[in-house]
Amino acid sequence: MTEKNPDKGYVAILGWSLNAIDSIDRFDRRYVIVAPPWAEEYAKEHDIPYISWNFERIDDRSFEIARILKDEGVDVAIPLFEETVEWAGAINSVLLGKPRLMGQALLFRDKSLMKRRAQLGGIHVGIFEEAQDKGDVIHFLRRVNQTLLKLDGDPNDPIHLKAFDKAGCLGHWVIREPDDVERISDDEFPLLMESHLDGWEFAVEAWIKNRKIQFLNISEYVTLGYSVFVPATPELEKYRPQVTAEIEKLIEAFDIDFGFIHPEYFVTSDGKLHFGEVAYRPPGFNAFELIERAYGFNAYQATVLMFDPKTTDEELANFFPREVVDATGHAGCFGVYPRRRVVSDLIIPEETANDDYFEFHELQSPVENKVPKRSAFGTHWGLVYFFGEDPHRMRDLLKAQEDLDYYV
Amino acid sequence: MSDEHGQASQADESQSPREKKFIALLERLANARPFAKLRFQAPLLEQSRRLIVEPGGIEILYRLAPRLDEAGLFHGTDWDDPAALMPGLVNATLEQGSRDLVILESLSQLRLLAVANGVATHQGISAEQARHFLTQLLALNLNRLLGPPSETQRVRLGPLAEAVGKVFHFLMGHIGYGDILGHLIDEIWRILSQRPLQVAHVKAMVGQIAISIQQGSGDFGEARLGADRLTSALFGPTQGCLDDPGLD
Repeated sequence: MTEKNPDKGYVAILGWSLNAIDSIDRFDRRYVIVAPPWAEEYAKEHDIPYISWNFERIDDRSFEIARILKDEGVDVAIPLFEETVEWAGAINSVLLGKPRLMGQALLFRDKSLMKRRAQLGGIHVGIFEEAQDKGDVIHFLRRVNQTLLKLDGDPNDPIHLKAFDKAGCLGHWVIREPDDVERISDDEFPLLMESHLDGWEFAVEAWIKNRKIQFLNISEYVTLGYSVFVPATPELEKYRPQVTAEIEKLIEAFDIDFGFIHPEYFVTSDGKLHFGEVAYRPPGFNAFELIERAYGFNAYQATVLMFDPKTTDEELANFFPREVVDATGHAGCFGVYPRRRVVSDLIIPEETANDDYFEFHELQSPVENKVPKRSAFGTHWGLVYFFGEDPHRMRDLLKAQEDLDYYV
Repeated sequence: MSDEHGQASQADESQSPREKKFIALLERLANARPFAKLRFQAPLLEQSRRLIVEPGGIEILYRLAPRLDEAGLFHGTDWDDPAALMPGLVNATLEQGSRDLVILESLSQLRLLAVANGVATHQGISAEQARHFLTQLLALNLNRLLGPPSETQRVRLGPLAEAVGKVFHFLMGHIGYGDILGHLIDEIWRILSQRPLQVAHVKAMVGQIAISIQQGSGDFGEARLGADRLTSALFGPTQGCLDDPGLD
């Protein structure tokens, strides 16, 4: 265990992730992992500081965890997953004596509230409404396309449906025709409906302390839900000043003193930025790992640094490298979905395996031969990692993976 | 650990991109806490598999083997405690193990060679013991030194099958033929002194010796005498019929 500095903060990590624990264990802050009871045995066996808590149960006793952590001497709680964001907000409002943090966390957890808040803060968002049932969806689709002056027979502009409180691509549907609505089961409602923005989508990872951006990374999506790499190409990086300004608006609108945010934006052909959504937790697709590969700093440790109220200015000044120029290369990953209906073996395509940029993969051999139908976006079978110096070659390489069979 | 791999950690202009990547992965594994090692082991094994089939790959892996060991590549596996490894089980691993196990075994052999040569140390195993293990290992796998891999192996492992054989050649280059034969002969005598009923495996070993002396080039030294004695004992005529010309 790395020597812990008693003058630094004591952090509680909400959620179980071995990557995160591994990173934080190597950092100089004392920590405790708050996770469901199934993790207890493992934590004991490996001497991981652990407090058992069931995040799924919400009742009169939920307040206890804040008290337990306060008695333990914890300074701040850090969420790892979407589901623990509001828990962290509630706990921190007690630990830090700032009741508004609870409300702030709810803004991050409800996409519909989030959009409204962003709009109030003067941030450009698409048009959106809440849907209670399928009828609302069809109505919204009609009205949006009517607004766009489409005539009968013109192809519709699609709309997007998203669950209020799910991470990333989970529960995200694209609806083009009224018939598409039938794919969604009734228990998915209520949902958020949004107009489609025809633009270049990308994600931002921003570490914030004292209401200031300490480090800002732009992650370029090659194809949404398939592939991402950092740092982005110069064509996307040229929007960095605009992105920075947008993040500063978010900090104001959502009243963010500290923490880590992960928003998504679209840039349209006229060069305007449109806000998609924002999460107050580490991103999916292992973006933290890509950032570490490219820049060399540990993104989990950086997040702890942001949350810890005892972090000094000197530490902040020394922790982060310079954005873009200090990256040693571009790190990307590709999420594999089987392209065939029936598969029996995992074979890394030769052209991928022999590529200089290929690093490694985390794919498992198939357990079942029949490939389940893909619902919405999401649920890839594993990630393949790449690293190299040329962002354009990286982009083309990631794109090319979409036409290759990993499972045959 | 020795100084050698301390130097190897510095980025070197002569390193190929693959080697640089390999070292980046290696360092990640080394930094990981024991409970997180598992995640970084598989990628490293995968890259080892690619590196080992490249020209010069075995030398690179031999050089890095002590660092791989120290980083925890064998953590959580049976290979973590080399003193408990048995040379007799290696063949089964190579014949039937998954590709990951096969490469793990080969890397373990390279690591033991580093221990035997005194360029690395490992808790619980001396240079002498490592050398003894490798000698036994080579003696039991003489067939791998003699011919190309069997077809089943080639189909199952692809290019890795050939690399496995090359590792054995590499080991032999460091351990020496004489040592192996000598050891094998000792082993046979040890078995024979127990007057076993089942002698098929002894006969097979003697057969291996005969073949390798026939095909192998180089100096076998004193071992040659003992080997000849065993070969003639198995294949030559007995005392009783030595004078019989074999005619009716």
